[in-house]
Amino acid sequence: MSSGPPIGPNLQVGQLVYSKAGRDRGRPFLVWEIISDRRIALVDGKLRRVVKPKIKNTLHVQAASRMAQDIAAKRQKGEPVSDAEVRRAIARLLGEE
Amino acid sequence: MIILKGRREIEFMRQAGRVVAEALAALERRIAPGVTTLELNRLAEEILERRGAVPAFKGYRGFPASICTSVNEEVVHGIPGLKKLVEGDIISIDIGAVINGYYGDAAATFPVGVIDEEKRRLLEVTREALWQGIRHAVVGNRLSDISYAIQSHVEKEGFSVVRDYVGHGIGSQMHEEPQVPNFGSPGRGPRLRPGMTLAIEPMVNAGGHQVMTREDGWTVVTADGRPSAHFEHTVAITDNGPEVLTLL
Repeated sequence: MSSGPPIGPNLQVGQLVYSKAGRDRGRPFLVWEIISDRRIALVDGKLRRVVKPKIKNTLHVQAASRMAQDIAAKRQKGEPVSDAEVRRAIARLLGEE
Repeated sequence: MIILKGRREIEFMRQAGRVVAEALAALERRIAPGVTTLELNRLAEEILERRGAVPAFKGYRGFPASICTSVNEEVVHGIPGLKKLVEGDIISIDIGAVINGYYGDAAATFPVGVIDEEKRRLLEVTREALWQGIRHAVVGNRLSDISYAIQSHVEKEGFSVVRDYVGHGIGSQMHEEPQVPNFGSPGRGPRLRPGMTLAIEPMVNAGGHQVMTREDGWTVVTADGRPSAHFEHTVAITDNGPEVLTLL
């Protein structure tokens, strides 16, 4: 059974990633939306809030293996997610390092 | 992360692959005008059960059947139903099985009775493209050498490869890394190593490569309504070359 569209480094909504390029280099984000096979929207609840996510090339992020499952589930159901929830999720995931 | 498999794991995949191949062969014998895709699904389930295998697709992300049956303009992930096959149709059957926790996955497109020249050529080119890809699944090559071999063969013949769905790594999960696109430049991606196991699966459209998903949320169809074909094998990369695990 074929798998879905190729998404660069296999990113998923809710996944923790680090920016590899740009002024925010090294900063952690959550994947907010997968726009295409090369473009994703990122949020961190501070610099990039949920009302205005950062669009980035998938090649310009380093994927971590950790996922904010609660955020992913809410996004899938179309439920609202606050910036505070995003910040808490990132802090929790970074604490797991 | 690409998971390399050892001899024991590949043996389990070989067992699963053989069951898949047997089921595909039996399904091919059953294909005829008047047969429903639901009957084919039932036959596949009987064969898998008799061989002690678990259907890999049933329940996967909510997929309701044990095989995918995609007719004519349906590309992949068609759901078996009561619609009868008609002389001149082509039907792609995709089947996966699990034995001892390891997966085998294969697909083929079959004619229903006599088919027109375009469909006949589409089937031939897609099957050839799969084998072109397999021939390049050798240690030291890069992943995209497989993709490039498939795409160049298909496009040379005037057909197009689907971009939105791709092959994949396979093992103790049906979909593992890496993804195996059927398009791309050569010499890119991870280097192929012994122990990698890949499901290589060109999906080829007679017309344009664009596809859409029907309202059932599963069935992928060509955007232009022209026919599509799909062939797939599970392949282990070894020091002695590619070993196709889904052959009889």
